[in-house]
Parts: sequence; C-alpha cells; structure tokens
Amino acid sequence: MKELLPRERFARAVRHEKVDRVPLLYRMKSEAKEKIARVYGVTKTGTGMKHNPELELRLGNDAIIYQIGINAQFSHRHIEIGETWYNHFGVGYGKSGLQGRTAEEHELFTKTQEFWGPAKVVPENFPNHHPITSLEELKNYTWPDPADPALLDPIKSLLDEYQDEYFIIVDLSSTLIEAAYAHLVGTQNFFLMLFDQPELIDGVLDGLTEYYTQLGKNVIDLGIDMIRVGDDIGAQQSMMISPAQWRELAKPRFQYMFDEFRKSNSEIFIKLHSCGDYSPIIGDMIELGVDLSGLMQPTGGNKNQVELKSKFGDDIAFIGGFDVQRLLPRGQVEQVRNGVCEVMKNLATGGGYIFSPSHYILADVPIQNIFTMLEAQRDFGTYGKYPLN
Amino acid sequence: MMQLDTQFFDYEGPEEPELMIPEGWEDRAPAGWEWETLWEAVETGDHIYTDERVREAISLNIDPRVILDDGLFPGFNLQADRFSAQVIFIPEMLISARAMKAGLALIRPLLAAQAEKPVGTFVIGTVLGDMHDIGQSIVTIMLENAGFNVINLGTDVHPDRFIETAQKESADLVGFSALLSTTVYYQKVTIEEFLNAGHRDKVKILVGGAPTTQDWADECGADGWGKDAVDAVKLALKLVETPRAAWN
Repeated sequence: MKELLPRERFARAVRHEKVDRVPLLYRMKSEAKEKIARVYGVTKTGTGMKHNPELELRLGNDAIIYQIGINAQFSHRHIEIGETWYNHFGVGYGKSGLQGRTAEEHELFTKTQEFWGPAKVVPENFPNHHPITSLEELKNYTWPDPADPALLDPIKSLLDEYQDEYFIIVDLSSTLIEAAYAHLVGTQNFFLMLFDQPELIDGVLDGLTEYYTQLGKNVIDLGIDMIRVGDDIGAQQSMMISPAQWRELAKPRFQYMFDEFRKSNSEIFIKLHSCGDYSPIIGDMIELGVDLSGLMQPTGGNKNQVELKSKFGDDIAFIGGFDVQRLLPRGQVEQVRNGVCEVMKNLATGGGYIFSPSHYILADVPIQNIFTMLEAQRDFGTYGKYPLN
Repeated sequence: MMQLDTQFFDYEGPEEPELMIPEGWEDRAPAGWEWETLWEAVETGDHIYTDERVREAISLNIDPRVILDDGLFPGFNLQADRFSAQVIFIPEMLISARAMKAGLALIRPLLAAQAEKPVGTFVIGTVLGDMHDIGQSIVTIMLENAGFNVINLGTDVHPDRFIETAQKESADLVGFSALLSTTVYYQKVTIEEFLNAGHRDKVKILVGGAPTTQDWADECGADGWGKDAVDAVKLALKLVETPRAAWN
C-alpha cells in the first residue's frame, strides 16, 4: 500500500479502513516533553494552551491534539509554592510536594528527590478550591464564556498551519462527571451529594453539558477533524460509579452533546476518553455513536484486550492500551518491546486502532524506554508484516 | 447497531453477597427489639436513622459490643462484600461507611469505658508529591469501622512526618497511598527512611493505590498490599496480630 498522508492514515483507521501502518498519537506532560526534546534538539516545548506540536510530529504523530477543557491550564502551568491559582471556572489550584514547607523541609525534599536520579518526583498541580459546594453557590455561579477567543484563536492558527497534512483533534477534557468531581465540587463531596443533594449534582452536570456543548460546537465550526471528550470514570479495578448510575447521569447528557456536535458537522469524529477501567460502558459508547474509544489502560476489565477487540472492535475504533503505570516507566527494554508487539497483536489486528501509551508520557519514563517504544511501534505497526500479516 | 450482550460484563463471582444475620441475636436483645431496620439503614447509607436507632439501643442499655456486632456490622459487611465483588461502587460504599461511622461515634466512648482497646493504631497518608485522597479516605473509614485508631495525615506527606507520627503514636501499622506512577516511588523511599531511622521493625507497612501490585509491594519492601479498601482492612487485621519490635 502506498504511503498515506498522516491525516488520511488517522481518519481511515478510525473508520476501520485499510491503512499502511498503525497511526500514532503520543502526548507528554511538560517535564517529559522537555527531557525528550533535549535529545532531539527541539526547543519549542509548550504544552497545554501553549502546545507546540513540533516534538510530537518528530516522534511520528499522525494527529495534532490541542486541549482547551478545564484540564488545559492548571496541569501545564507553573504555580508557585503556597500560591493558589484560579482558572476561568473559579477553581483554585495549588502545588503538591512542597506545600507550606520551610526551607529546611524543602532541602529534605530535594534530597529525597535525588534518590531517584533522573526519575524525579515532579510536584503536581492539584485542585484545592472547589467553587460549587452548595445550591446557593450553584445559583450564583457564572459559567465561563464558550466563545472565549483565548480558547478558539489558537485553534485557527493550528488549522491553518497543519491541517493539510495532519489530523486535528481538539480536547475538551475534562468534560462532565470528572469536571464536576475533580474540579467544581470536590471528589468526596461529589459522591456524597449524589445521595444528599442530587439536585446540586444535576445542576452542575447540566451547566457543564451546556458549556461544553456550546464550546464544542464553536470549535467544530472552525473545521477541526475530531472532538475529544474526556471524562474519567474508571478506577483501577472497576468503574468509580456503577454502570447504571453512569447511564443515568452521563449517557443522556452525552447523547444531547454529541447530537448537537453532529448538527454542526454531521461528519465530525467523536472520541470519548476515560482513564482506568471503563469496559462496562464500551457498548454504551457505541450506542452514543462514539468513533474512537481510549485510552484503554490495561487495568480491571480493560485487561482482556483480545476479548474487548472481538466483542466491540468492529463497531468502535480503539486508541491506547499500552501500559503506562508499570511497563513504560519501569519495564526493561525487552519487556517494552514485547509489550508493544502484544498490544499491536491484540488491538491493531483487523484495523480500527491507533497506537498510543494509555496516558501522557510522564517524567518517570527512562529515555531508553521511549526509544524502544518508538522502534517497536515501527517494527510491529506495519500492516502486511509481523504481527499484522 | 450491534446487539449488546448485557451478560458479558456482569458479576461473575461465586455468588452475590448476602446479609449475614448474626446467630442468636434475639438472645442478646430485649424482648420485641429488632435490628433489621438498622441493618438496612447502614446498607443503604441512612446515617440519620442509624444515629437515632443506635441512641435508642443505648438508652435501652443494650451492650455496646452487641450494638456494634449485631446492629451495625451486618449491613456494613454486606456492602463491603458487594464493593469487593463490584456489585456496588464508591458512592454506595461511602454512604454506607458514613452511616456506620455515625453509629460508631456513639458507641466508641462506651466501648472505651468498658476498657475495650482499639484493634491497633494505623497511620495512613498519601505519599509526598501526590494529592489524591479518595482511595485512602475510604480505607480510613473502613479501618475505623473495623476498630482501628486511625491517624490520617492527608496528602503529600513527607517521609519524616510518617516517621514522627508513627513514633509519637506508637503505631502498629503504617499505610502509604499513591495514585501516580511518578509518586509511587515514594512508597519505597518512605520505607527506606523508616529503615534508616531504625524503626522499620516496629511497624507493619501496607501500600496501595492504582499503580501498585503485590510485586511492587514485595519490591519496595512493604509487608502487604491491598487490592481495594476491603482487602486492605482484612490484611491490616491480620498484620496487627503479627509480632513486631516494641516502641520505646
């Protein structure tokens, strides 16, 4: 088969059409990106709202993914120790690792960091102020502007510069349940209020649905290829909430959202993402008309990739499935290579698959494992060759 | 549209967990007393009724140990088994644990007055660099409900704070949680710091969290790993019985 343009390769794989090789999509958090960029001599390493795709394209990405949801800003920006930074949703974020520590304690922290050499623990930014914890706060809450030019303008430039060659994805994560528990309401609060004040949860989810539907439509109108909706409802061993409760809380809202997206562009590709185990609702994703499901972290019910592929693989395309919890950061080179081969065998056979680690590449991944993954994906990701013959 | 096979992911455990009714409970309660509504209240997470019913039981001089074993545990254990079997999920487990906690808050002072000691002292927290706490919050409530005195240090806990607290409280067990592959290393670092401080043999150490496995627990030198909150509590109850060096 003749070599396809990256954007064709990606779109064809999502449509389960024949491709020359398995398309790729790598994403990195800033520390990992800087580490890998040094090897390639790439200097533009922006992430989040300042995303620069140069390095990802060097690694072989067929698509460019640009994030504008509630996660886009906090996790990629520098927050000072002790500072609380507020985003456009009024959610406050602080930094872990060093919070409220004295200079002496800071030194101790640095000392323990050195223990692991290059695989440093990177202090994470984390929500520490949730703006909607009562009906009163919900009533007075002002939702952000879904037509904010600060969100939309960078997408126009990306489209102008790259869409001829690459497939353009805009990422709205986190969108619904996750945006509510992790950001607006607070996790434990959210779970208790499902029982104590269901009207509060309904109000928050309705507000998010409305905001993200409008934002998504605005983005689709710019001419992007795929919209990514991210909503973490998977824990390690199972889902966080019951599949039945997800069908009650999330499914009708996503149905409305996706129907609206398709009114803006009936051809728009839709990707729905969750971390952890979301295997019980893959059938529901198909019913919602989701085109691409990921990132398939092999935990809990996601572990049996062969079974998932045979059960659902004809009706939905998959992305991910390559373990980032243990294999990629801590596996030996040979294990990483075999792991890539295994995932290709399990998920890429018969098409409808995009190779990706099952989450961002983080700073703890040794550089040799990244190169091993890149090499293995070239060796095992070509159709007509082992293991895809 | 494909036909969905709804059986595909359904519960495949041995059997759906059932309510274990304590044998001979009638003999330990006043004539005409019933526990069924309390079992159901704890099961469904009705903490207000749980509070009322336990107060009632106390006012009738029912032994606090009996209230705990015959009144509170059956509904709670049922939910714990269902949680483990993935029949119920975090929200249902949380509200059941909250109801149990409401009942326990009334009973604990009475148990203490009868010189009943906590099962053990457990220091728990999320390791340095990691702010995720939903998992360890659930483990904390479950440990308290199982009779442990739990000191929860919260998130982003420096190894030194674990060590200082364990020493100050003469802890029997210490537990480290982590969600991220980047922070899970701190479980190992913290265990090494316990070694360096000369306190490793005085506590049993449990690890848990998304990126952890039994292999990781072995590799980082922990005494045990819980695959979920229910598993962690079972393990804690076992480990607290095993010999350790004394705190001075």
